[in-house]
Amino acid sequence: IEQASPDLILPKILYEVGNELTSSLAWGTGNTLAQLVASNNFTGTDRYLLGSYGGTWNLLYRNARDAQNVIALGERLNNPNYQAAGLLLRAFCMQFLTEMYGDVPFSEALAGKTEGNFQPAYTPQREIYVQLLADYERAADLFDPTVGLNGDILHDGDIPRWIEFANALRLRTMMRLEDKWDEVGLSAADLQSFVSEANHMDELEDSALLPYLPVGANRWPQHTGRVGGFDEKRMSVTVEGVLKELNDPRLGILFRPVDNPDSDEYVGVPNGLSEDAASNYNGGALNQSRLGTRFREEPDAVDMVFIHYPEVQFLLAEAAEKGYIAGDAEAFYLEGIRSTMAYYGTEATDEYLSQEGVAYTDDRDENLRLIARQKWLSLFMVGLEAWFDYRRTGMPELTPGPDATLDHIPLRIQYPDEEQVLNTANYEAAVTRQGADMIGTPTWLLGE
Amino acid sequence: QQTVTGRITDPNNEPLIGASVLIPGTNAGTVTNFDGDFELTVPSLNDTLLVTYVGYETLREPINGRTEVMFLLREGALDLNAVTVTALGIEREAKALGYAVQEIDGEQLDRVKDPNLINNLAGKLAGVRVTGGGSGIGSSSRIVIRGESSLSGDNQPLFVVNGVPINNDNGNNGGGNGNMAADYGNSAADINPDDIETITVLKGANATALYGSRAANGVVLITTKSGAGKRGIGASFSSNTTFERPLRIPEYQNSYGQGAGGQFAFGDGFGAGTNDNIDESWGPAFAGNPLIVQHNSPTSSGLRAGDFAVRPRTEDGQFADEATALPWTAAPGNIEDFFETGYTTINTVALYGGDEQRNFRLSYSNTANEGILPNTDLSRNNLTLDVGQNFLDQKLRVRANANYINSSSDNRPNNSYGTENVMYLWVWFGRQIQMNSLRDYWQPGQENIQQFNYNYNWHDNPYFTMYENTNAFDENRLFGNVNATYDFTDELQLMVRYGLDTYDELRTGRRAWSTQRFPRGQYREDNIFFQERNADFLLTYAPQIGETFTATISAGGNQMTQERRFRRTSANELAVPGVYSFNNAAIPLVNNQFNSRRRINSLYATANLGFRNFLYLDLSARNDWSSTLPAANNSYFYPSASLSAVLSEVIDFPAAVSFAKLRAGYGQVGADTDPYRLLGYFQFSSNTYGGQLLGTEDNLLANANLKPERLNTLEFGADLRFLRGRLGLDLTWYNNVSRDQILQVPVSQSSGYGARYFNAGEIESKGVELLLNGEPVSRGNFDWRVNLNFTRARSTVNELAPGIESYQLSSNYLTVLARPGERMGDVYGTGFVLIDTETNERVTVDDVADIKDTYAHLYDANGFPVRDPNLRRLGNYNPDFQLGLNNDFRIGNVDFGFLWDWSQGGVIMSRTLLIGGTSGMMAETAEYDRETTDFIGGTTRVTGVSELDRNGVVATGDGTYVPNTTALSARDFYWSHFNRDNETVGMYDATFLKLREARIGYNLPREWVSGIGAQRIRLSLIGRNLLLFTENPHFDPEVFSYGGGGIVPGVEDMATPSSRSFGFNLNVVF
Repeated sequence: IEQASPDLILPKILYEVGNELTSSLAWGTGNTLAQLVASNNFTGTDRYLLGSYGGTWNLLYRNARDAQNVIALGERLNNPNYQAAGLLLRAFCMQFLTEMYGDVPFSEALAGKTEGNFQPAYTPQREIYVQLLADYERAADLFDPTVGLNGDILHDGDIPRWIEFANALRLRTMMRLEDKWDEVGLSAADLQSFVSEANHMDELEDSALLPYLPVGANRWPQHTGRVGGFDEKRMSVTVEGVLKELNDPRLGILFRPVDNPDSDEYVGVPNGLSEDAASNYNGGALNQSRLGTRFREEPDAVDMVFIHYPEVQFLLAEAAEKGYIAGDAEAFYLEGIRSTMAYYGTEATDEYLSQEGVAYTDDRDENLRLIARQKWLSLFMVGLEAWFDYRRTGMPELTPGPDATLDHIPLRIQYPDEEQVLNTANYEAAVTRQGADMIGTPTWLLGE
Repeated sequence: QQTVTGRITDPNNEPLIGASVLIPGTNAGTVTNFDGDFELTVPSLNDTLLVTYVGYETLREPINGRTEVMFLLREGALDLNAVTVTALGIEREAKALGYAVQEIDGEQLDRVKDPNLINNLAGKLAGVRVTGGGSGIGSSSRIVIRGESSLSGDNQPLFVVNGVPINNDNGNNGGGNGNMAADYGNSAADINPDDIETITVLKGANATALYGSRAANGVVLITTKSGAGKRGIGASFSSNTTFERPLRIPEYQNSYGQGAGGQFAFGDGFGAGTNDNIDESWGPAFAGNPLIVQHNSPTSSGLRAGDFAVRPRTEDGQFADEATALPWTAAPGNIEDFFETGYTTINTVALYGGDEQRNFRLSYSNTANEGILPNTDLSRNNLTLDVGQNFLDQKLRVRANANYINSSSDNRPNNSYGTENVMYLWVWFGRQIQMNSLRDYWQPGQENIQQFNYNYNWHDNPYFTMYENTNAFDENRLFGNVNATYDFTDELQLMVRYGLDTYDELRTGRRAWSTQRFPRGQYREDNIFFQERNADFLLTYAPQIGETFTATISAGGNQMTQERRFRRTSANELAVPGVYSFNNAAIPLVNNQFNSRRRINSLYATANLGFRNFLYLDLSARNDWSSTLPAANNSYFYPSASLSAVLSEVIDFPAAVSFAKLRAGYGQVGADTDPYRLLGYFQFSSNTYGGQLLGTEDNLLANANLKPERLNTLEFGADLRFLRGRLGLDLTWYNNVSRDQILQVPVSQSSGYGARYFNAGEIESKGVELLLNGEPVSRGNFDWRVNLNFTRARSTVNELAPGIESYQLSSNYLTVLARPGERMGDVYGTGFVLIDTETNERVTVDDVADIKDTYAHLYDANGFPVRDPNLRRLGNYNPDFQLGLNNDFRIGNVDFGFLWDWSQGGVIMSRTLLIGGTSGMMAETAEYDRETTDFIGGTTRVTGVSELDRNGVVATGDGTYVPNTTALSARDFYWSHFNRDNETVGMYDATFLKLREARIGYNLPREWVSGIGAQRIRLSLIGRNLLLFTENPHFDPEVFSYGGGGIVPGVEDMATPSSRSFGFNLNVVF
């Protein structure tokens, strides 16, 4: 480890985690579970035959380990920015794991080499969140704009943006814990003081995202993959309804009209159909809208988004609307919509913003629904965040498809099969504590 | 010193060529020439001559002062003093050995020749299991001796040629970085079968201890032919030609074509038509042959419908021309038609000769093969030179042996599941596709740019794959050794030897533009370098201490140095289509590199003690120092001992018992590990992010405290011969215990690492081997010989390591797990949720054997079966026993023979069935009329698939279950029943009976032969793998698959079919 330099490891974590989040999880699972897209072939995910995502589990723990190496190397080099970036990325990976699975190895994790612990116990989810919040706070404090950060493919050494990245994750996490504040020792006042004292993203360019590149191995994988795999993903009926209702300019950006030359309609496919029903739906693939050209024809239109500026705006809007923080909820909300539109190179016209279904109302519940719906649209291709957020808010309204194997949206992912074999006792203890290892079992966060 | 001359003949007065004549206990020995004559310099005319010839009686005859001695050898008679080659090339009398050794002579090997010498061993050896590769001729074959004792290694034996180890790497490392693996053959297959004099298989640790670490899985000792004992110049020529066809290809249905919901019409192959994006066969029925536009439909523009890139289009992008509908008909033979008749020719010429002081053999062999898949081939040229020269009045004998091999192929097929393998395509290939329609695989004017195909969103045209996307290799290899033996006195001898095995291989991969995996093409080169150098010496002291006691004591040492270098460069996009050069790379080159070196130094000693030709005791000891182990643990010592008692020398058995020997042996072998396992390291990703290098810590946690592995063998055996050798029985029982194996153990990734190395485990292997030789008929003109070998081997896991309940050996959907108390080779997988209909309880089974008839499959409210993700044991891929039976007949000049190979038990999972079942391709999916049948899981059965012959129930909600009544469409039904994740459904019994070899030969009468100056001419007709009897109709169960870079036994995964071959053979000796 003495010879390794953190400026080679840091970019690897960013690229590997970002790519997993995007090309694998958002594309294959997140958009589908949130019913932003539906499949017309290989409909297992739509039907909640989810599997256990052992590959993702391994990738996240592997990168958490490398992030830990970055922290250690940062300490050795006396560079606070490597320590902070390592801390942030380790927490990001660990948070993703607990969001997916619930209780996961955490306090005892990553100690194979240092302590010879190859069977780490699972930490209760509550304790994990407490530590993650502390890690994000510590990372934000540690970052030092007067010191450099090499190998920073995310922000090119722009330390203030890293601080904003840490704070955005902290904001996301605090809101995620909304229903559990009393159990983790948080309150609205804590949120208020954090929001008012810390630096936050204040423009789209502050977003923590890594672009795919126009050439070589760093291109958006669907650009070079088999077109059959790309074509399996279609617009969902759920998103079709919303985009059409709002006459949303994103309809023509995220999706294309059906291929049938006799029609220029946009037609979605219901989630959760059987193989046969999905491929024959509406007369077959010819009459089902594919995803937009940016997701296939362009090598670099897709970004690997860790957390973006619009999400921060929607989080603030929600917090303000709920009265947790002071501030103009509507302004945050509108900025969220505008910046999302800007991200897609289009614009939220006054007409769009003032129409019913977008325009702010006097009804708090309705406003929260509006915020959640626009946030949901903004989370297209953002990891599993739309699904994670849905589990908390229950919005927008999503209904499992006819051939789904569960009568509600899944609450978690089953633990990787390997854990049953390699970490048996701790796995069983976690299952005993948390409930059956099934996708319908609520984790602590989602429990009563 | 005196000279004795003589002649050795058979009872018909035919000379025996190559019979050996020697003075036991000395170095004096020779072999008869083509006239059966010999001339031998002997120390004294009071010595005794020992005359041996394979398959003939052995004679001992005191010279008694004569200078000319004539011998007449009886065929098939008892051969008590046969000499066999043992470890380090030491020749020993077989009866003195305390362990089982089986020898096969070259003639037995190459009568029905396979270019891979390992395949020639199949069915002929007790305790040995041979599995052919999955990529046709030229692919790697696997050989395992006495079962699997290692959890981590490949369990394959060490190959030794003329006393020096050679490499037998499995060349299946062509995958990675976007490419799928291809099989470039196992390295030992480079040896020309025609050059082999004998193969001796050493099985247990007491037999192999002198080879040390690397022989823990047994040793295959190969002795090549030499000119020793020849007088004057001789020559031979052999020519072998065979033709190959696929032995078995899957049974497909021929009732429905491509599409979904009974609908299909080709538009552009991307989805513009009706369901032409669907690559499954749930389309229209062939009945009535409706007219439907297809990919090969002619269009009004003179093109094919599938020529999407060049067909005229209107302004809005639609095709401007019209495609003509064609009759929708089944193409029953389409896949079989793709296979070609392969051929293999092996031609060998050899020149040899010598005299008392020197001898040589020079041979050249050419192997040319065209595979059963189009545009696949293998070519091999072997040049072998063996020379011997005696100096200093025969006190110094020098021998050199060199083998130069060039092997190459223009294309090796890819294997396993994915678009680069055409075998993958067949499980998705529409049943209406006429194979001929794809032969012209470029779109007009788009040569090198855009392929023509029936489907563009998933697949590559199979001819395009075979002709454009090639995996070539070219290897140059040199191996051989130089050795010198010097007799200081009659009792003291020193041998020194230097051996080299080195090769350079260049593999080049091409992928054309429009390939699914590489839309802009690819060019790749792998440079592989291997070199192993062995220097050894052996000092032997054989005191002449009278007749009662004999003793030979040897001491020696060896230094082995091995170097490997691997370098891969890929251009994953080409700027100009069709130009395969790194200069044409459109994007930065991707590089991978791996270099390693290792060394083992060894010292060893052995003592062979004999008492009254009755009792023999062998002792050996060896110490190794390996560079791959930590300094504190890198030295390890291991001994062996074996005892042989020839009871027939001391007990008066009934006359029918001609020979009886009991043997017992104990041996230990230590083993080191591969390089780079002691210290952790960081590594670079092969890709960058926009030029920024990316680094990571290795995910395998190294271990600086590794210690050597240990293998202990205990072996007992008996060698019994009756009726003057007309009936022989050799029986062996062994028990191997392997401890402290160096495992790469998977650990929970939450520890930060995916796996770590440590010493753990105890594997115990027990087995019985039986060899039976008989000569039921032997009367002048008619001989019948029977040879039977039986093997039963079982390995069990006694322990893994504290806290480890299970260890994954390999996985390709089916998971091979080692668990304490269970058998090695147990396979696990998942199936459907089971409900015990008597108790209304959901049951979890750990083993398919626990599934009772009263259990039903659980279905959900929509009529879909519910999958149980818990692993259950589905069987064991190892056979219960194997039996090889060879019959040889000779009637005058005609001989014929059959080798049957029976493997009983074991299981294999078929990925072809599981995936071809979901795609509607397999015959099983057309048992019922897809349009009129109510497909109700548990009521509608799938015959021929035992797991699907089970009742189905649904939950009522109050804890009871009622029969499933919900009907699904045919596609949903088969999709949910055949499913690649439900391994249970794909299981077949792997039992098979094969007619492995059949041959009929004719020896031309001597008078005709001598008329053209030859000594012997033999013509034969031969066949391999002519008949196969096995449960499953789709494939040869004798294959293995690849997964994660290694071999995964027990799984059929889109392997190239094994082949059935017919041919002829000509042998001429001048």
